[in-house]
Amino acid sequence: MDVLNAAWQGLTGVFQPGAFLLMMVGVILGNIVGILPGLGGQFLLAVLIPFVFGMNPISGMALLLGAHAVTGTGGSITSILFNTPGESSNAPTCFDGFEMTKKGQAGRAMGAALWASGVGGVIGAIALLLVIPIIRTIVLSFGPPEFFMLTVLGISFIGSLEVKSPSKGLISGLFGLALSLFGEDPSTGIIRYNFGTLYLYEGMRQIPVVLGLFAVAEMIDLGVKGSQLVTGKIEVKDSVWEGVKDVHRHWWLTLKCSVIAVYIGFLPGLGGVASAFFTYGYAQRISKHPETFGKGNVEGVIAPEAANNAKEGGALIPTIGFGVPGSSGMAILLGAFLVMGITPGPKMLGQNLPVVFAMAWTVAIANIIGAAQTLAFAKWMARLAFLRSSLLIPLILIFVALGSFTSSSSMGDLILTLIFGVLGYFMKVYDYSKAPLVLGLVLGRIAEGNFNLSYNLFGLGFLTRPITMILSLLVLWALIGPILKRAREKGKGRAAE
Amino acid sequence: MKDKKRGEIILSIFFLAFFIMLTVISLGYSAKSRRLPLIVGIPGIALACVEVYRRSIKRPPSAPRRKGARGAHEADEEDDAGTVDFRKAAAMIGWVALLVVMIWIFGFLVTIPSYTLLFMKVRKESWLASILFAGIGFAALYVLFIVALHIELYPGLIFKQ
Repeated sequence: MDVLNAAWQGLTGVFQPGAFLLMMVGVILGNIVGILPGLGGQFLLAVLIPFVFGMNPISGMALLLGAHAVTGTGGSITSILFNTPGESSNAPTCFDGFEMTKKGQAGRAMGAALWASGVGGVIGAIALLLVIPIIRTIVLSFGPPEFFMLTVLGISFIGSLEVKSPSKGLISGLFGLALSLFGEDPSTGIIRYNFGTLYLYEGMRQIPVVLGLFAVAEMIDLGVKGSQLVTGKIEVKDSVWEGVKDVHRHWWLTLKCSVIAVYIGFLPGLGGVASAFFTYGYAQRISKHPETFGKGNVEGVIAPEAANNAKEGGALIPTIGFGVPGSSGMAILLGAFLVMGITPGPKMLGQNLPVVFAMAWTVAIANIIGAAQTLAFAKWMARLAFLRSSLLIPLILIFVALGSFTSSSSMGDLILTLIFGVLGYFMKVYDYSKAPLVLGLVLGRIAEGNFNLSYNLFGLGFLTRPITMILSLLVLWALIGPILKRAREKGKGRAAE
Repeated sequence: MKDKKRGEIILSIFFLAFFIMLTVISLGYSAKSRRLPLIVGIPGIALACVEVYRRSIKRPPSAPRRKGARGAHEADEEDDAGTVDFRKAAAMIGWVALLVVMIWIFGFLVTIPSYTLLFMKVRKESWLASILFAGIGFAALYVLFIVALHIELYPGLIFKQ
């Protein structure tokens, strides 16, 4: 009864005029910042924290969570229209979203992405509401060995991300893993592969790499071809509504990817990029048409976008329950909690339960409002893809340069963006998929840290822990599954002949 | 077709050289620090070698590459997609490099309008459109980044204080 009371208090708190208005402001800012490459939810939270001094906790949370919850929503728009991810976690949306734009289906892709983001966010919030009573058991069941196997499972999807040439896919994935090894070794503190520069001490930064691989490479390609992103009639044939309906057609995929993302989100250290790639690989694995992934399959847009927003609900779980942030954004949010006089942890679940529920409600409502806001403009934004290359290229390149530079205020980031732009262009031309590269880069460091910890703690015996064994079986399934599937298809083909 | 093959070989050699570099350098690290570099580097070298070999061997013209169920037309299209106009590609890469150099020397505020104007004029847009587009783009980014978000943009080598 107390829980229901707290849930009701939380809900009414969010709908108080002041709090609701602040949430709306947060959602608008979140959508705008999400569109800007390189500036993500963490940046926005850091900018907004000074404004929450003296606010009551529910109003402060409404502003901060309203803004943070929807940054992924805005980021999908540039991924789809210009192959320029707003955040690293929007990168998987480029694979199929941009292909849909090239086919003249930008409106449909945006409809699907934005609505999947909204639905995913709501599912994340519901998960947060449901999990609050059993948080402790779930979080404590995961140690370094389980984290390691989970990242291995993510990496094992590399094989299924490349359909045309498995060897090129693996090379790309290994290249990404190799890049993740640059900088300080998390277990020994030794600086590796910095080539005498200070810039590489912290390793390869994801944002410049992703912006170069996708946005700059695409602009070079566009400049070489000298036409426009989308050739054909200058009209948006398909409707945004069709994309919304796609999400409902693939409701089971949306639900599954959101749940997976919630789970990944609440495991500290894995982060949103991992969940987006993980679900993209998973969607391809279970799709009836895996061969169309990377060529404009709407499922490839729905899966990562639903995951992107759902993971925020998951990341809030350990932040609230233990005071352990599930992501870097949550670490900043933790600071804001303290500013408002809230101490996260088990006590919070007892003394400030209405505030906890208000957070969950805010995430849910902000996601619906955020998706609705951007959907309203999607049809007009889709027309930007028809701009001539001479107008689009300088605009996007400057946009990318600003995003790349502002992510860490370093000229090195701009040079890295240029290098990976050139590499990305030639990878595109010679059929090397970029998805495994980014996946390797994101997961490599997490995998290494957890592997070393597991090995130091348990030796090779860490592989025999129950959850680790289950995850190992899933890794085997991920590796052998595509080979068996191909063999079956070949067998069927021969039988048909 | 030849261009594509040559390009694929060059890219494969690039990856091969990278993995060799990764492995060789890792030998200088402690056992713990070189564990993962070796786990990644050795299969990387093997795969890149296979890829270089596969792209280098000559295929007899009478034995076309198997394309599964896809038709010959699609196969031709794919081959065309792999050809690169290196002159145009080099020009575009030059444009991106120019942007980086301009930002480094003149900073963002000078580079944004001048780069836009320069690019559009070279691409044969009218003076009016170029000035208008450069101005609007500059104003929008200035308002967003400097006025609204209070982000200090890099001033460039010349205007650095």
